[in-house]
Amino acid sequence: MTMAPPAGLRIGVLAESPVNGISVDPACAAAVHTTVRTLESAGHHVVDTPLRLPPAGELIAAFTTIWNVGGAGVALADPDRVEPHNRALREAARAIDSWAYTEGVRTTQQLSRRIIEAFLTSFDLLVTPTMACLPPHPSEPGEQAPTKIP
Amino acid sequence: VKRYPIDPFTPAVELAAAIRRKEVSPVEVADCYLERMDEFDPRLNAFCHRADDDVRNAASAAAGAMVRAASAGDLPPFHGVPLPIKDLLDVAGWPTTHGSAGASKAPADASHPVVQRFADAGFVLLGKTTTSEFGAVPFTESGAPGISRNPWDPGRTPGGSSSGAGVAVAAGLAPIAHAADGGASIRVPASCTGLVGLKPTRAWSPTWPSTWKALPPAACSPAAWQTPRPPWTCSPAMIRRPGGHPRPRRGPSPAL
Repeated sequence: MTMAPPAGLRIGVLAESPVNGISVDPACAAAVHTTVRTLESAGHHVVDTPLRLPPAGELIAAFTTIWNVGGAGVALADPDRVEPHNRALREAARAIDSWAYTEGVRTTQQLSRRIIEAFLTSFDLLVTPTMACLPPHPSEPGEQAPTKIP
Repeated sequence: VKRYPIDPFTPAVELAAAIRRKEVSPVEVADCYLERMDEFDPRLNAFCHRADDDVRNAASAAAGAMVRAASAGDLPPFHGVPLPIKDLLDVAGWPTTHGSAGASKAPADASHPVVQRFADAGFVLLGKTTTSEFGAVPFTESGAPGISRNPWDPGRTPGGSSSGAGVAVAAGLAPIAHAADGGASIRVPASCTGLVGLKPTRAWSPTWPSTWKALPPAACSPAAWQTPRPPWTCSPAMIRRPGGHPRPRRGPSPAL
């Protein structure tokens, strides 16, 4: 099962975080540029158009509505032993009514389709850093908070 | 340096081919990875549930099936290749903790459909890998599974939430691993541990019955990892239209 490698792909580049306040580590940005150069030398071309994205705040607000229900459906023998951050998510989820939840689902679907449409119109491939930072250091037992991860 | 019957970093596809050519038996392969788990996992913490007897029994059964098969073409594509399951999905007979100290330790009655498909594809289920609680954060450092460490630098996180999956493959404790991704939980550990992480298009693999990741916009796509070789070579094991899936796959058109 061999296929000829694709030629002349339109490469989009998203090298910066769409979320304000998150900077991309130079090592991660360098990996993006190395990848883009490799693709260019293989005959693909970079499209000089940024990916159109909805306001990050709008997307995150809608997504969070859904994310908060993360633990729902998991049968627990001892709910008191759920970790504090997940307890906070559960409490936040319970404070949202079904109307607001459904709005969150609808908005997320709409915004994600807008992103996909913008992607498909302009690019065949989008190169982004997977992480904005190098792998953080774990917190050791006894420390108060986990290592900050953006 | 310890000698193993195989290079433990062999990509799953090549391992499957070597087993099919009878260069190595499924039992030797399973023993190799179990031995490496004994040696390295106390430090790295990729696995939260080991079931070595089940692994050896499944490997023996795979070896027996090879004897009985009329030709190698009758065997499933990943016959005898070990693959661990992230501890968010049920495997019949094993506990599912979802990374939580609050979970029941009772063994699951039945395997999740994705797990069953991996088994149907010939994989030997190699225990369960660590996850952050409910897969909610991109690192595993909690009280239940403990701290999972990056084999490239144990002072750093391997990322998450599919932490153990990334550690297992990066450290050569498994040739490929199941993982799941609703908000980068495959992509982040793949990045942290230098692997290929494949998140298939949503709805190409069954999310039902599942937990929150079955929810429409954040749906998880159970997927796999392997050493840097073409990830699509594992697709037939995972990407096919599921029976009983609540959301049939649609075409790639933006006008969904």
